[in-house]
Amino acid sequence: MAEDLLKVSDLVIQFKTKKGTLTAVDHVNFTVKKGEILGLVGESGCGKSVTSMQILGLNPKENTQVPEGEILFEGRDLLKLTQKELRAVRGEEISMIFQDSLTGLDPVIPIGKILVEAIRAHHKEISKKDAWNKGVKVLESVGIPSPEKRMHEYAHQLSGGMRQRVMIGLALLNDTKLVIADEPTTALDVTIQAQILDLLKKRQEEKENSVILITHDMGVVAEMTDRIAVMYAGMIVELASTRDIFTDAKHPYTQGLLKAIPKLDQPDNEKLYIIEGTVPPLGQRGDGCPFANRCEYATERCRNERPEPHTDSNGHMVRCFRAEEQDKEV
Amino acid sequence: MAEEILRIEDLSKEFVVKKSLFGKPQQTLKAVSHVNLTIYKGETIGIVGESGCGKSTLGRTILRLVDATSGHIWFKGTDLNSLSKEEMRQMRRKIQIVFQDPYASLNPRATVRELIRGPLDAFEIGTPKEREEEVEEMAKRVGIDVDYLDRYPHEFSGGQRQRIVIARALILKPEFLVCDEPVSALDVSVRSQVLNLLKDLQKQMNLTCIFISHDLSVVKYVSNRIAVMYLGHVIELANKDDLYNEPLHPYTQALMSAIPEPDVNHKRKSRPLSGDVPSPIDPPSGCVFHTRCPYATDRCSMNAPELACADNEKGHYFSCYYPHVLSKVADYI
Repeated sequence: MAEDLLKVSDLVIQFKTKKGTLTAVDHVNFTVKKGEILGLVGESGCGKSVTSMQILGLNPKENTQVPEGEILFEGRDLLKLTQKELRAVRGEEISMIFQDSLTGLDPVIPIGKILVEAIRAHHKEISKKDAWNKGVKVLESVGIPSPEKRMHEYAHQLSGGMRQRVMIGLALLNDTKLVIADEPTTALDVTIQAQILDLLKKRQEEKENSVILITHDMGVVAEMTDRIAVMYAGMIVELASTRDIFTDAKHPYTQGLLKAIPKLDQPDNEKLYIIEGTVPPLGQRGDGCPFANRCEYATERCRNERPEPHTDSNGHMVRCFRAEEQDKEV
Repeated sequence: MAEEILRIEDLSKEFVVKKSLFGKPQQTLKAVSHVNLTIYKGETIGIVGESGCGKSTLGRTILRLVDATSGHIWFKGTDLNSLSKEEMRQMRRKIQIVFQDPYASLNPRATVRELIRGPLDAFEIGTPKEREEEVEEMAKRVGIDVDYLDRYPHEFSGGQRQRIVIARALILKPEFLVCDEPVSALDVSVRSQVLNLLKDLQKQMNLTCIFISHDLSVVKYVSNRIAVMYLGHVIELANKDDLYNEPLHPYTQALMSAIPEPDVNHKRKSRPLSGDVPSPIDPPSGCVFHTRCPYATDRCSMNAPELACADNEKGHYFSCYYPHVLSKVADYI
């Protein structure tokens, strides 16, 4: 078994708003092993981005309560680091790829200068010229044609796919141990998405680093990840190997999610499965299971009591009373 | 075959992106080029393609939200392009559209009741009391609680808002509905609710639909026939099963193999297409796909292949010089 690179325990993130304190992330636990790709899936507002932003300390300070819990990265608690210490971690040990590459790249600085700056931010000893040459190599390695020319261009002169390649190049610059990719292909077309996913996977295999891949697309996680954490309303409701999630999902939400996606071999007259209702808004999630209002198996207990994580002998974690009982029966 | 309801004939739309000093067009963007498409009553035709391929522009030219540069759109024997503004306004009782963004489609200062009633008011249909009844019935059909009709759009979730938009589009009982990425802004668990609703309503009201989307599995779920667009051209048109089982155009093949399937046993068959979509301001010569096509020859870069029929019975059309080669090559990949 590979070592843990990142261990998130009992992470709670709350935002201060006019309506009171809202819990966006509620007792989240997961680990990322060395060399693995972990998928974090869920719908908008489920807390997947907030969780990942907290790893790098990027949630807005003004309205975020001091998070509870621990984020251990190679034994160091990232929540306890000072801003200065965190800055040394960002880009050097953990890097991030954002969804929107147009806002992720400074529009008034040429690509080359952005790369040189990023390289020299952590390695002052590298001369500007060497950094420039390294930048060209980076662009080449992510498959950008005529990289020398591109170094002088600005973000808006590149297409969406090209910009996302630059972002990946930036994230892989210093051979970081952990890359957090937040919806890296959501803004792209399918043929470009396929290129970018191939590139991400290839680079990950070469460098053997770990990746947290955040997405709402079940197709993308099926193809890319080793393990998957499914988030719903601020909680991880199920965490298991990718194969187990797709072949033996235990949480009713995961099951419903998989059935609700039209497959290419979907029979014509068969209706799509529907998860009734909508995600409860922040602040109205009650004490029970947050999925209880949409779950076809919900009981009185589900509405009043929150299920605790239950892990079976295969390491398949689920937060659901029903699944827990079924496991005990077996 | 069923009755023909809409026929698009040699339709082109060019947007002027740069004008000379005296207003003469200097540079044009060819959003839709020489598209021919016949749509039969009661069917749903899906239009797929990547961003910028002209699928939305095509949908909008049908409602004359943008005016076509050339070509004809025959709706039950009337050329929509020749109608006056008022005639076209009247025509929109029969042709309606649902847009992608349910947040931007609804006036935030009107109640849901006013929004759904809007088209009835605009065409002065029925007495106020009849209109009210109609609104409530429509709301029930799309699954909006009648008690919530006096609320404002911001109080509803994305999926509910899309239901409101659909109710408003269907209250005039149109014959033809253009759906432009109606579920792309919605989360997966809500998306299936709206897709099922659309499919049910289409059957109940005997609607003919154009369903525009970039998501191939969604399009396959709702459509009978599918047209694939690339850089303003329809490059393949077939029944959905033929298109998915036996794609003939290399672009369609690449598009199919690029979709990540939510299935752990599924392995992507071929390498993804290299390169980006060329700019529609300066499209490639000959076949528009030849710059990215793995099988392109000199012939492809000189002349554009016409949309040819592969199988008359099935109505499978494609525009490529080397379709036989493809089906064989595809086995090897």
